[in-house]
Amino acid sequence: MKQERGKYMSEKILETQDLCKYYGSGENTVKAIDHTTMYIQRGEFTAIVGRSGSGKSTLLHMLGALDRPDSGKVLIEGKDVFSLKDERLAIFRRRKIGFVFQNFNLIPSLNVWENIVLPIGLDKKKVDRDFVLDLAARIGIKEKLESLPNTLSGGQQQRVAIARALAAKPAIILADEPTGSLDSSTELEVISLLKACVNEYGQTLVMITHDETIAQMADRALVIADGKVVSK
Amino acid sequence: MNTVNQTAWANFKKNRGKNILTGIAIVLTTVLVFVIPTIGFGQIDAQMAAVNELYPTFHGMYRGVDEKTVEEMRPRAEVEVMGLRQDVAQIPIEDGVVQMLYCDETMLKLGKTDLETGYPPERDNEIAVSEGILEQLGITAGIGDTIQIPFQVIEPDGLGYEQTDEFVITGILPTTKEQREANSYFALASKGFMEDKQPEDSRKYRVVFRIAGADSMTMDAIEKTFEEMAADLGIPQSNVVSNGDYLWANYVDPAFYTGVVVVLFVVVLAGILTICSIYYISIIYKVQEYGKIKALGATKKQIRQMVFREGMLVAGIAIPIGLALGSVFAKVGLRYLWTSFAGNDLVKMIGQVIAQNKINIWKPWIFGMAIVVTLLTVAVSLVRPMQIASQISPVEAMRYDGGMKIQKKKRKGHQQMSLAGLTGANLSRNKKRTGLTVVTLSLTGILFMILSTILSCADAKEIARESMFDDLRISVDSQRGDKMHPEREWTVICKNNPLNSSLEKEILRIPGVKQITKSSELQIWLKDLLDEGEPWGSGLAGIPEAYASRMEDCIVQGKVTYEELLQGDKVVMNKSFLHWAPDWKLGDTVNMVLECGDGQVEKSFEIVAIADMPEGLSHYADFLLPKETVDALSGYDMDYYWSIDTDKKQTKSVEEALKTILEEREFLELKTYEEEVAYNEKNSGFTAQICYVFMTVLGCIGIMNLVNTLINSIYVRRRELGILQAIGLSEKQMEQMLQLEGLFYTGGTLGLSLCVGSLAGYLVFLYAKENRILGIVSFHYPVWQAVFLAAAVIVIQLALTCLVIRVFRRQSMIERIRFSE
Amino acid sequence: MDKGSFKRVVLFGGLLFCVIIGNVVFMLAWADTVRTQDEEMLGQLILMKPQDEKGYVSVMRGKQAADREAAIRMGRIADEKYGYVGDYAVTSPAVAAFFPVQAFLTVLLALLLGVLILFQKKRQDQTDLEIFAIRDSLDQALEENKNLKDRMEREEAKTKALVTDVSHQLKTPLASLKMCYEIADTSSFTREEQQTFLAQGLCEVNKLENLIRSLVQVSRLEANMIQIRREKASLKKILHNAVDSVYMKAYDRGISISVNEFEDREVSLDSHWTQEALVNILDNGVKYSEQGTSIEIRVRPMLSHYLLEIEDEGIGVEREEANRIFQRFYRGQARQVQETEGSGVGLYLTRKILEAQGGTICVKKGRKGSLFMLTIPLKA
Repeated sequence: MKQERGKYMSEKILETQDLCKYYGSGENTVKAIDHTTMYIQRGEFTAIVGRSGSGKSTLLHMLGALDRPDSGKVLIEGKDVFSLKDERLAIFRRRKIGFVFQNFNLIPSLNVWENIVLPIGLDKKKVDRDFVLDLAARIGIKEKLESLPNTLSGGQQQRVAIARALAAKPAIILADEPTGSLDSSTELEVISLLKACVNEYGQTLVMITHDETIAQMADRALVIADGKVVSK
Repeated sequence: MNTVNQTAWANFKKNRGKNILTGIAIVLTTVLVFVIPTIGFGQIDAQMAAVNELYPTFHGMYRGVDEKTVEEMRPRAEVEVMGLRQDVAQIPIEDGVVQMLYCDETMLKLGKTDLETGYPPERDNEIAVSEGILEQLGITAGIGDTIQIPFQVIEPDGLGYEQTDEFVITGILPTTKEQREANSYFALASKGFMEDKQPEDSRKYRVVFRIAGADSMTMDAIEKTFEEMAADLGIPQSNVVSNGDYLWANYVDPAFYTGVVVVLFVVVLAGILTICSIYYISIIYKVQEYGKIKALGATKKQIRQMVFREGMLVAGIAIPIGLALGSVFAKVGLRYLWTSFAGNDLVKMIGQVIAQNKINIWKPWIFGMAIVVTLLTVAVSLVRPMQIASQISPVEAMRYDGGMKIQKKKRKGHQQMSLAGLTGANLSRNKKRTGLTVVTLSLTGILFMILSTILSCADAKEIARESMFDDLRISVDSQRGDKMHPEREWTVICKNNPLNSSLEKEILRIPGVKQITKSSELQIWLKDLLDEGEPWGSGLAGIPEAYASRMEDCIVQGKVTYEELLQGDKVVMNKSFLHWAPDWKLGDTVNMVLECGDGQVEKSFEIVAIADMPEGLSHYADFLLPKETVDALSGYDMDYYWSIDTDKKQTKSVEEALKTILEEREFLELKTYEEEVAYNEKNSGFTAQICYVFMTVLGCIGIMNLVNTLINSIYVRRRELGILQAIGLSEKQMEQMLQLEGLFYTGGTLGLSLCVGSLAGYLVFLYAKENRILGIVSFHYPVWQAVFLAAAVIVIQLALTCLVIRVFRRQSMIERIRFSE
Repeated sequence: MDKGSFKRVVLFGGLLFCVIIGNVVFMLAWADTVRTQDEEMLGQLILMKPQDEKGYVSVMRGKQAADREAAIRMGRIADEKYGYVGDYAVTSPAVAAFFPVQAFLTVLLALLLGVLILFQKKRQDQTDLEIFAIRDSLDQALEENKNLKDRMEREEAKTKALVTDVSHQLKTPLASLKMCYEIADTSSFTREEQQTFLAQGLCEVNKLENLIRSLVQVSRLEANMIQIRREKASLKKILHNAVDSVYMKAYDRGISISVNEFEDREVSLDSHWTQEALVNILDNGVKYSEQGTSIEIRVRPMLSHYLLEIEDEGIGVEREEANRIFQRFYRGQARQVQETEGSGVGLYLTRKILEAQGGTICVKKGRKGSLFMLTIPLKA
C-alpha cells in the first residue's frame, strides 16, 4: 500500500487548466476565478486558503463539477469533466466525488443511516453494511443511526456529512469550510477524522478554508486571492 | 419611511413571478367577491323592477274610507304615497257593467292605469272612456268629441235614477280581452264630477298606498304596519286588502342574503388561504433578505411595513383588474342567466328588464365592499408572513429554511435508500402539512362531486315521470281563496265539473287515447293544526283503484290496503306533511272539515299509514283516500286530474286534439309530459349553470393552490434538492422524484375527492330526496363528472409538475446550494 | 426648514384654509336654506288657508305671543298622533340636507388635527433619534481615532524591534565565525588565544554536527525506518512519562507543569513514539519560556478523539510562522529560538508521529504563550 501511495503521489488526480468564471457583466464583472491553473495530487490533503470573496468556493464548485466554468478545463483523473453531458456528469460526479459542506446539508427528513447511504442508493448500488457501520463507529455516530439530523449537534451533523461523503468510497473528497460552523475543539476533531479517513482509504482531500490554523494541518496549502492561486 | 417604500417597491419588482401569482389570486377573489353580490342583488333588483312593470305597485288598499279618515290618513308617517278611487256612477249597458270612477293621479300611477291616448279628465264635464264602452254605447267618437252618456249615481243605499249628461272625451283607456269577456268596463270621471254628484258624507273611497321605508321591511312587517294603521284609523279589518301578488313577488327570502354572505365567506376564506400560502412561501424564500435588512438596522415595524406594502402594491394593481373583469362578468352572466332560460311572465319580464339595461347592477356600494373585503383579505393573508418576517432574528434568518418542524426525533429508516424511499421520507416529514395540502386540494373536488351528484340526480325525465304517470294530463284550473274571482273556487266549479262524462266520451273518441285514469281532489281544513289562528288549509286526494298498488308500494310507515281505505274512516298521510306537523303519527285521529259541493262537512279519520308519494299520486295533497270514498263524501264527482294514457306514436296528435277540445271549455288546463320535462330541464339546467360557474371559479382558486403547493414543495427544498444533486441525484432522478410526489398528491386528492365526494354526494342526495329539493327521486352516480374530475386533476397536476420542474431547472445547482449561505 | 417640510406646511395650511372656507360657505348656504325653507312653509300655509295669512305670518315671524312651551307640546302631540315617532321620526330637510356636509367637515377637521398631532410626534421622535445617532457616531469616531493612533505606535515599535533583531541575529554568528577564521589565521595572537578561537570554531562545528544528527533522524522517519507500532496503551501513562522526562529541566528553570484530571480511556498508540512527540512539544515549552512560568496540559476526551491542549507562557509562535513550524528544519525567527540550540526537526517529527496514528496537531496563540492542540484518536 505504501508503495502504491508513493506511485500515486506523482499523479495529478485533479487539475484545472486556465479556468475562468466571471459573474456579472461590464463594470460590475466579478472575476471569481481568473485564469487559474493548478493541480492536486492523489492522496494529498490540500487546503485552499483564501479570504471570503476570493473565489475559493467557486473554485471548489468547479473542481466538483457542480458549476460550469466560462472557459478552461477541469480534469478529474485526466478526464475533461465538462465535456460530459449533464446526465453522464451527474453519474460521473457521484462516483468520483464526495462533498462536505459548511452547513452539513443533511436531508432533514431522513435519519442518519439513510443520509449516509443515500448517495449509494442514488447510484443504485448495494450498501456495504459492514463498511458503513465501521465508518459510523469510527466517526462516533454509531449510537445515532436512527436519529433525525436536527436532533444532533453541529459536530455530530458534520460527522454524518463526512460519513455520507465517504460511504460511497469516492476518490476525491471536496470539503467547503467543513468546520466553519463548529467550535474550535470540535473543528480539530472533525479535521482529524477527515484526515485519518482519507489517509486510510487512500482518498484525496481538498478543503476550502479561510482559517490558517487548518492550513497548518494540510500537506499542501494553496492560497487564493482575487480569483488567482497566488502561492503554494 | 421612504426607504421602506423603496424596498417594498424593489421587492415588488423583483418577485414578479410570485406577485403575478398573488395578483391572479387577488383578481379571482375580487371577481368573486364582486360578482356574487352583484348577481345576487342584481337579481333582486331585476325581479323588483320586473314586478313593478307587471303588477300594480301599491302595498295595500283600504275600502270604504270616508273623507274624514282620508284626510286623517294623508299626514300619517307610515304612508309614503296614497291614491284615491271613488266609484261615482254606473253606466247602464246590456249584460254588463260600466263603472264611472274617479281616480286621483297617484291612484292611476299605482294602479298602472295608463291611458292609450289623451289625459285624465280634469274639468267637471270631462271623461276618459275606452273603446269597449263606446262600442257598448254604440257611439263612435274620439278625443275632444262631446258625447251623451247615461248614468246612475251610486248612492249609499244603491243606484240612483238614470240621468244623462254631456261629456268631453279627454282620453282613451285601453280595452282588455278580459274586459270584453266579462263585459265589464270602467270610465274615468273628474274630481269635480264626483264631488258634484256625491255629497261628502256619502263618499266611500278606496285608498291605495305605499308604506314608507318598505324596502327594508319584510312582507309580514309591511302587512302588519298597514293593519295597525287601519286599526288606528278605525277601518275594519275586512276592509283592508293587501296587494298580495305584488308583496309576494317583491318578497326576498332572508335566507337569500344569508346565502350570499355564506358564499362570500367561503370565497374570502379560499382567497385568504391561497393568498396567504403564496405569501408564506415567498417569505420563506426571502427571509434571509429580510434578516439582512434587519441586521442593517431595520426595526420589526419596518420589516412588517415592507411586507405589507409590497402586498398592498400587488393588491392595488390586482383589485381594479378584478373589478373591471367582475363588472363585465356580472353583466354578461346576469343577462345570460335570465335570457337563456325562459319561464313564466315574471321570468320573461326579468329577462327583458336586464336586456334593456333598465336597472343598474353596478352598485357603488358593492364596488366599495369588494374593495374593502379584498383588501381585508389581503391584509389578513399578510399577517402571518409579516410576523414571520419581522420576528426572525438576523442569525436565524441565515439558516431559515421554511420552519419545517420535525415532531419526532427518530425515524425507523430503510436499510437501502432508493428514490421511492426518499420521496416517502419527504412526504412523511410533515405529515400534517402533507395531509392538509391534500385535504385543501380535495375540497374543491369534493364540492364538485357533491354538486355533480345532485345535478345528475336531478334527472328531468325521471322527475317529470314522478308527477305525470302518463303523457298527458287534464286538470281543473281552480283558484283557492281568490276573493276577486269566487267563481274559480273548486267548491264552485265542482258543482258543474267540466271533467264530466261527455268530455270523457269526446276524449276517448280521439284516436290514440288508450285510457283515462281519474283522480279526485277535495279541499279540506285541518281543525287541529292552526295557521295564524285559522284552520290549516289542505287537500285530500282521491286515487283510483288503478293506483292502488302504487300507493301501497310507497307506504313507509304503517300498513293499509286500498280495500281497507274504502271503509271511509281511515286515511293515508303524505310523508311530506310531517314537515308541517312533525308530531302527527300513526293511529292519530285527524279532524277535517271537508269542502264539499254543498257546504262543509266535518269528519274524523284515523291515520293508518304514512306514504312517501310521488306527485303523480298525491298531486301535493296531504291526505289520501280512494276516489270512490272522496266522491261519496262530497256527493259530487270530484274528478280533478285526468291522466291520459296514449299510444306513444300518437301522443302529439292526441295533444292537438285535446287542445281543440279544451279551447271551448272553461276551467281546464292541459299539461304534457314533454312540457314537464322541459320545465325540469330548465329548472335544473339553470341551477347547473350557476353551480358549474361557481365551481369553475373555485377550481381556478384550487389550481392556484396546487401551483402554489408545487412551487412551495420545490422552492422550499431548493437547497435540499441542490444538495441531493451534489451528492449524486441526477436531473432525471430529480424529475422522477418530483413526479412521484406529484403523483402522491394527485392520488390523495383524487382518492379523497372521489371517496368523500361520493359519500357526501349520497348523503346530500338523501337529504334532497327527503326535502324534495329539485324534485330528486333516485340516485344516479355522476360517472362522467367523476371521470372528468379524475382526468382534470391528473392532467393539471402532471402539467404543473412538468412546468415547475422546467422553471426550476433554469437555476444552476450552485444557486440552489447557496440559497442559504 | 427644508424643502419637504415646507411643502408639508403649505399642504397643511392649504387644507386648513380649504376647510375653513368650506365651513364658511357651508354656514352661509345653510342659513340661506333655512330661510328659504321658512318662506316655503309660510307660503304653503298661506296657500292652504289664505284667510289665515296674517296669523301665519305673525307665527312664522315671531310676532305671536303664545306660550312657547305650550306650542312645543302641541307640536309633539301632533307628531305622535300621526305616527312621526320612532322609526318614522323626521328631521327638518335643512338639517338632513346639511348634516352629511357637517359630519364630513368635522371628520376632515378631526383628521387634519390627528395628522398634525401624529406628524408632530413623529418629528419629535425623529429628532430624538437623530440626536442619539449623532452622539453615537461622534463617540465612535473618537474611539476609532484613538485605536488608530495606538495601532500606529505599536506597529512602529514592532517594526523597529524586528529590524534590530534581524540585524542582530545576522550579525552575531557571521561576525563570530568570521572572527574565528581571521584570528586563527593571524599570527598576532598567542597560541593559547588561537586555541581558544579554534575551540570556538569547534563549537560551531559541533552545532553543525548536531544539525546533521537531526537530519539523519528525519530522513529515517521519512524513509519509514521508524516503525510506529500501535498497541493498547494508556494516554495517562504516556503523558506521565513525557512530563517526567522534561521535569528536571523544567524544575531547573522554575517552570511548573500541570496536567488536569481526565478519564483514561483505552487508546491504541505507539507509546514510545507518542511520548517522544509529546516530549518535543513540552521541551519547546520549557526551552522558550521565562523562569517561573507554567505549562498547562489539558486533556479532554471528545466524541472520537482525545483533545490535548498544551499551553505554555513562553515566547509563543507568531501567526506567520504557525504554518511553517511543523516543516522540516524550520526554526523560529525569534531571538530566543535563534539563541537556543536546535535543529528544527522536533515539531516536524511530532506531527508525523501523530498523523501516522490518526491524530493531528496545530498551534494557536495561547493566553500568554503558545497553545498546541493535539488530537489522539480514541479506540474505535
